[in-house]
Amino acid sequence: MTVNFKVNNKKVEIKDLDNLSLLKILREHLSLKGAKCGCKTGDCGTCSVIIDGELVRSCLVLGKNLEGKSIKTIEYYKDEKIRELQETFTRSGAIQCGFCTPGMIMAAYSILEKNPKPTKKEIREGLKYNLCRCTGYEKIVDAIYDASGQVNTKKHIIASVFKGNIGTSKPVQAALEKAEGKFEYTDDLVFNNLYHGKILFAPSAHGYITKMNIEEAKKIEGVLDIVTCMDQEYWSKDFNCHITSPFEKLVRNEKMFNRHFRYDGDKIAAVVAISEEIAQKAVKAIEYEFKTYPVILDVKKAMKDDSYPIQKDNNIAARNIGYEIGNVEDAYKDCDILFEKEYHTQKQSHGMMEPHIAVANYDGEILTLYAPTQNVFGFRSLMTEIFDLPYNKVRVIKTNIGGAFGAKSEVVVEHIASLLAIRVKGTVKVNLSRKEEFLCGKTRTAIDFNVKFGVKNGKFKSMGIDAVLDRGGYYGSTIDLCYAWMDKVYKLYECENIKTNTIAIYTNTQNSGAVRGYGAPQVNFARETAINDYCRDQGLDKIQFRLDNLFEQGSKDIATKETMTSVYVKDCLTRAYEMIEEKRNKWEDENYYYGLGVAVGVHGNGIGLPVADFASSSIKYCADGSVIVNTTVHDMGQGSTIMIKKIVAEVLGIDDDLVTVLNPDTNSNYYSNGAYATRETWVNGNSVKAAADELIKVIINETAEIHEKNIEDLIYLDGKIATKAGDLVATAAEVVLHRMHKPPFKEIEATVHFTNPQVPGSYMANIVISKVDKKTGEVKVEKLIAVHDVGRAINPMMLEGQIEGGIHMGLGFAISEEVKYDKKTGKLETINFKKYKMFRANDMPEIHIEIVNKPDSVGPLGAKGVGEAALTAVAPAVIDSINEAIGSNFNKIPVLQKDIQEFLGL
Amino acid sequence: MKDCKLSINGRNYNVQVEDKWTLLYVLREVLGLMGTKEGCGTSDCGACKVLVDGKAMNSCTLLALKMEDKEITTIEGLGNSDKPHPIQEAFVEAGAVQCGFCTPGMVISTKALLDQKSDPTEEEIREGLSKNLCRCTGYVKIIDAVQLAAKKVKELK
Repeated sequence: MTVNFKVNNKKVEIKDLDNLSLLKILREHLSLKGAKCGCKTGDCGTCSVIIDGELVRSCLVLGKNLEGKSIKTIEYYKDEKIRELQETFTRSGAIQCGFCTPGMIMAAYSILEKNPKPTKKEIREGLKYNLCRCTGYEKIVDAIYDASGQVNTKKHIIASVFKGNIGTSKPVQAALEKAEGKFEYTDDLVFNNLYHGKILFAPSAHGYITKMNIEEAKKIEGVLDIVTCMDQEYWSKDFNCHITSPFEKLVRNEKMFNRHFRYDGDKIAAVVAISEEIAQKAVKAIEYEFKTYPVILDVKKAMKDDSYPIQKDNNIAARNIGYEIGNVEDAYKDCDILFEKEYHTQKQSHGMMEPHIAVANYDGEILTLYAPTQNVFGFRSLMTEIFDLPYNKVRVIKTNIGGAFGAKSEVVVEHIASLLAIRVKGTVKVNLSRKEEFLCGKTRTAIDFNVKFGVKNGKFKSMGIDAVLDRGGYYGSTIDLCYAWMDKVYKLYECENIKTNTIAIYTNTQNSGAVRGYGAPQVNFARETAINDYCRDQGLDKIQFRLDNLFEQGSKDIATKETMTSVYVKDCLTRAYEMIEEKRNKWEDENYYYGLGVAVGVHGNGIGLPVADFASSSIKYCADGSVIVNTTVHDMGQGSTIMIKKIVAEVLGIDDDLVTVLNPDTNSNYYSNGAYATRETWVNGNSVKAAADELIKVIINETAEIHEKNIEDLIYLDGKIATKAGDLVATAAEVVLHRMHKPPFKEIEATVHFTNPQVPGSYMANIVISKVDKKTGEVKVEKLIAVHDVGRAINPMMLEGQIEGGIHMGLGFAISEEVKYDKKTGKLETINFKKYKMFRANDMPEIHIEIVNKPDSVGPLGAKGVGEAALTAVAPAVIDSINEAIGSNFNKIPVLQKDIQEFLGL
Repeated sequence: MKDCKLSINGRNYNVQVEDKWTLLYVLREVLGLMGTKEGCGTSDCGACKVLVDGKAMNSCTLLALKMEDKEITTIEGLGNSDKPHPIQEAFVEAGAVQCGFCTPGMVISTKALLDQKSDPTEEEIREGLSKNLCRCTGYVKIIDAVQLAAKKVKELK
């Protein structure tokens, strides 16, 4: 059938696309790729467009229903309101990864069409169909408020400003392109002769494939190849999705396709075909038989000796990982009071707006992987290991990332795309649907803690925290996570005797992986909730008890005995408490119980021992005074590109627009570990700072030689070289030009291999006021104060943006998000955003953020990282506020409405 | 836009085309067959040659709509790196490929030539490739390649 309609005031005619979604028609037939596909089920809003004045999710509208319609998309640059919103979104810092932005702007357009002067509350209501995982919606609401012409009185955090680069706000790299829908994510890229891969997932949570028949599937026209778990070639080799180097001696017990499947998102086969539809059809046509094994979801059951082994011998992935400082048991005997309680955290999904996607090309010699990865070098190592290729034959290029939060630091589909590309010697894309993403993506590790501590004279004397980790079906990052959570125990409270212990268990659930925080939000929930419970039990002031025990400037890491580079957590807590007007712990009115919750926390910066964390950087001065920085930072909207630009610009005294940072590509970039462990500001930032310092030395040397001066007599200042007496000798650009056009011909550059000397703490305090509805048990977090000690702010607006986004994820961790499985079958229940509930714009509390604004002694220009610290203390503060409000003792998250109803007897 | 039925490399395509669209444009922009190159757009360089019913023709000056009911073969239809055509093998082995931009057109012209004369003389080869320009090789190794290709094709028969 022929359908006529208008897109952005242009006539369009489509033929025989009756049952194709408008989203696909826009993206694939009209090349309008601004609208994104985040779920295909109408839950996320990334595909929002306007049809005849109404906001519509284009994935839900079919081609046959478009006759006579007039559609507006993000590409409609002639519409002044759209343009204005694109500008206010950019200016306000409302854009991080940018994947939700086009949909958000269309929603904003619709809000303002109907109500030109909306209140912030009305804006939040209007955004409730659009999910964002980066920003916490704060700056999106600001941007829309701004576009409505109303005066926004909110100010950014106050930071020290020096030469004008550090401490001044700037949107993330390419923010305007993101707002215009022009920023190309992997699914927006065009590849010639592209084939499509689709995956067949396990039929249940635990079992073994006994037979498989692919003959019928192979007969389908357009199918090029099928690989399955029954094949015995190289793709059945054991690997570990978390490996970042083939030399790493981690347990490898995962295969690309697992005949013995261990959760229902395990992969058992894959098809490559000329279209996604044909590949999917062939996946359905694969016939197989299987036997089932007992499904074990509970770590306590899995730990038992007689429990069915999910992996080879038993279900213990690791045990007795931990260390003791002092003598904890002896010290307990000397305490006035002992406290002991168990705490539980759940599996949490990343929920980034862009599901996993990868495009791989194999030309017979070189495997090139285009993927929105947080770790190009790690992925290269893994591909060389899996496919037995040399490093120089594998090239990994980071494509634009639509949110990651740790998801894209471990391979999920990248090896499948690579395998299929090698098989067909061509280009193959594997693009997960939202359901598939939920099925086979990684999750945060669920941890059961036992927290025990003894207090003497109001101070911690001894503390022991034991943890049981639910790692899912495979080893993955088990050992790293053990050390990551334990590290945080030794750098927040003064205590002479501390021990930790970890057991990691296999279950028939998704493989646990890296999710923003990596163990810290879990242990911080357990410890902080324990302290709140203790203070409540003992009738102590929870603020004062903390102030009596917290680290302060000069405190030493209890495990390593190194003096922390900076600790201002007491300042955070004191300031947060000052900022809250209502200082009672609990109160109530006719309809609600109110509670005030408190938590502090710590997160590290960079990979901890025993792995040395390093980053190389090289900076080249161009002949016009601009510079090119070769370092590997994976920008995913968190702003690492701008961070690097600002640091280099500050050191060299030039405008940050004169600095360009290379996109990660294993063929051209200097080595660095990936964008995880809150390491890019600390490690890469320090690395480029050292390179910039070195570059100044080089250019002074060259100037001295050219102009026959003594090196000691010269100084470099803001792109110029002068004598100490103040006479200009040359500009940096002149020196570069001289060296490139006269003997000895050379370029002016400096390279530094920077090794991280120490893992510092980024500290924070959160205070939360929540109210609980007396009739329904519904919790509304009303206000959240976050004060962070992150050293000196490099880019205040985006620092705030990181914290706001972290708060969003932390709130979900506390009271709404949980990866759930059917208790009997082990089938994943939370397969879409309807069932997996992330906070929407109208769920968010009023947020107030400040920083301590005191520089760190080692951080680049005094800065520390914030990425993961942002959410570390949110959940315990929220749970404390609920426990205060209703007198409960919840020790398990998430605390859902039904839990509260049960407690209140509703 | 008009419906246009094209038979390319043994496969039937139904595409929507404008009156003015050239076969080259449809191959590259509509069907994504990027092997055929555009060197001039005026039928002077031969980089865009394809076989039309066995005859080497410049696709930049053929209208797509006039190509209905004809059998078209592009470089992709001759072979690929897994199963190269003997002519393609010969071009690689003889060192006849430098930048490679003229190569698809050269290979197509060679195919047309060898289909007519299985054992051409050097003069005939030079004449047969006279509609194809190359700026890298000086044609010396291309001539070698065509001779080698003739041998390879004959051996196959």
